[in-house]
Amino acid sequence: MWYRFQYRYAPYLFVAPFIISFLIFGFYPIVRSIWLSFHLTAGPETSVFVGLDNYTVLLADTDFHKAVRNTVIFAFFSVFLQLPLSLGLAMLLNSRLILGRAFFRLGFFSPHLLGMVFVAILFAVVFAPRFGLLNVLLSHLGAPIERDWLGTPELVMPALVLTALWLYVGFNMVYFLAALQAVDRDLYDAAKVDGAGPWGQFLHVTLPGIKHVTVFVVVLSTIGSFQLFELPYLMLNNGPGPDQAGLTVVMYLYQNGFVTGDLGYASAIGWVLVLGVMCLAIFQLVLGGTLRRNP
Amino acid sequence: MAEVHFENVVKVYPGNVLAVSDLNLTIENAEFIVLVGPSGCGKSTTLRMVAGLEDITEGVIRIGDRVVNDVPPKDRDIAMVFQNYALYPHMTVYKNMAFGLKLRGMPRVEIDQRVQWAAEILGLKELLQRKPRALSGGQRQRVAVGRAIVRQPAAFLFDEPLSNLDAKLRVETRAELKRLHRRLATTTIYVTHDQEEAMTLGDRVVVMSDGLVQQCDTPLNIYNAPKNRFVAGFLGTPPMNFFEGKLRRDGGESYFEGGGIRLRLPKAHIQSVEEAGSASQGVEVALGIRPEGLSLRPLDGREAQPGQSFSMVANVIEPLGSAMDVYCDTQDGNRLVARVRAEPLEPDQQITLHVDMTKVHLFEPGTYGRNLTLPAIESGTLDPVGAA
Repeated sequence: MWYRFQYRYAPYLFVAPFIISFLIFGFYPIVRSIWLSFHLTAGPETSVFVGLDNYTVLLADTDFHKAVRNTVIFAFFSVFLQLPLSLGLAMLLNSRLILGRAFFRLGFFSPHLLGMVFVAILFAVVFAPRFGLLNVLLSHLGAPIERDWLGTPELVMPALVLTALWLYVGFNMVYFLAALQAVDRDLYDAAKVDGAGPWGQFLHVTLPGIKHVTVFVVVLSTIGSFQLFELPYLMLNNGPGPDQAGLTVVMYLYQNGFVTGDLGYASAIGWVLVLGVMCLAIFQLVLGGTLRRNP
Repeated sequence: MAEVHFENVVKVYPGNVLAVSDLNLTIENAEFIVLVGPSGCGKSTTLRMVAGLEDITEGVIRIGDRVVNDVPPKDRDIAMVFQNYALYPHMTVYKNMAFGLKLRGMPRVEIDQRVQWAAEILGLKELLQRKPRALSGGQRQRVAVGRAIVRQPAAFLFDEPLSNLDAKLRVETRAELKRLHRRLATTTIYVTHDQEEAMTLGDRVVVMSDGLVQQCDTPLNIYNAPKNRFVAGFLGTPPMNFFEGKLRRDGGESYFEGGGIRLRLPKAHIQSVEEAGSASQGVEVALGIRPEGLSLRPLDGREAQPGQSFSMVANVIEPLGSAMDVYCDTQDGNRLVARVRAEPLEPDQQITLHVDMTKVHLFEPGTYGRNLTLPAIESGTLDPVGAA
């Protein structure tokens, strides 16, 4: 009797800790944020139902537009600059011609081990206006122009992109490296015999071989870019930077929810972000053929 | 079609690992040659050197009249079939076969003709629009062969192409490859570790070990007249039985003694040993007998010759239909196997094994010990019962 009871209910007991914590910390906040996004709130206590007002206001909000534009630019460079570089590095470090590959792999991955806060502080120093490392380097290269990288609106985004590049290139390289190592080496030999040169091999063997991982990394990278918050927040002195050049969607959400105290508006921003990212991810998956059913 | 020549070819891998050592070999036009040997013997390296997928450390490889040492794989006019087929997974069967032709800038109409021709020969017509993952192992293998034959190259290179197939399919595909070779008559170099494949497919077989060619000859010559102990032990299923011992003279007769047996050797054997330049008394030798050189009854109903049989206890009996394999343990701890005509026999039964003296070889000691009986085998002077 006891055995049968155990047999039947033990699985539920085992999954219960996750289910309970998910309901409290995952499911409830999600549902609550949907509910909040239809309310005008002032702090956690006061709220008035306003229907879709938060959403209509948001769509006409120029600050939100700016945040979206900045975020899209950052995401664009993440995908089209960072990922090709990651792939290039991975191919280089997958080559048998490179000596000390393990050392370089660790080297390129190590920025990710430092943590975002440390990297942000480090790069705030690199981009410092007078004696920042970048300015010093530029003056050594014969361009003795002191630039206030994080104080000039046009230079804020390039600075953020460069920082993210340093932080994530090695991280994404690991994905590509794993994918490259899984490509059957005989396929390269077959392609060589068939008459493919290095470019042909890349096009007909490497790219198809790492396609699924590439789609995965692109989707992950896009989602990550749209969640950009800590880097600009810490590098730009807890704010959006000059002329809001470093304002991102999540930073705008944070400002509205936790600085202004309008949790309803912040929730609406959050849900628009979710929908936007979801559409983008589905588009990328369709484009990459990942959702296609196998014959 | 072309001849392939190896002249003093050496391959050394980084770390001073010698893979192929001083290879000299000529593969005739339209010949089917099989390189066989255990893992790491240098056979695949040799094939890859012909393909241009490995550099040659020393020596010269010629395909036809052209030295190809520094010619890239695509310009060598060869086609290769890989062990795991190496089909492009994102391309259909048609595209896989057409790929090499397309890269060579062949007109589309001609590509289509060639692909259809290969598909017809290999029975792939229905599968042309499928991707490799939707094919069985045997079908993939045929596509890989198709990809090679559409190119109509000077030589085909096969790198253990059947080892991923199940036993039945392997035998079928083997026959198909042989038929295909007869039809296309293209020079073929085929690498395998499976001695049965080597024996059945090759016009000639090259047995390799430790980067060296141990013997190169027709399958039957290699089987009947192995040059050394390695070749003798490597080819043949079940493998040759070996006994370590010494040659002794007793009352005007010569005997082999060792491993718990004593066999009277016919004069031809002893003459052969002497002709091979070895002492015929007191010298250490290994005696090898093919399993089918042993029988439970005297040969052809003739009378049992004294000193040409020995007794053993049958441990395991494996019936094969008309024949059976009988396994016994020898006194020196080795296993002996005899392939004999099927008859009722119980395990642990004492049996007498009669020896066909034409199947007995004497080798110098050591893994690569020379076959001392070779002069007699080649001159055909060995007598089955070795009547003195």
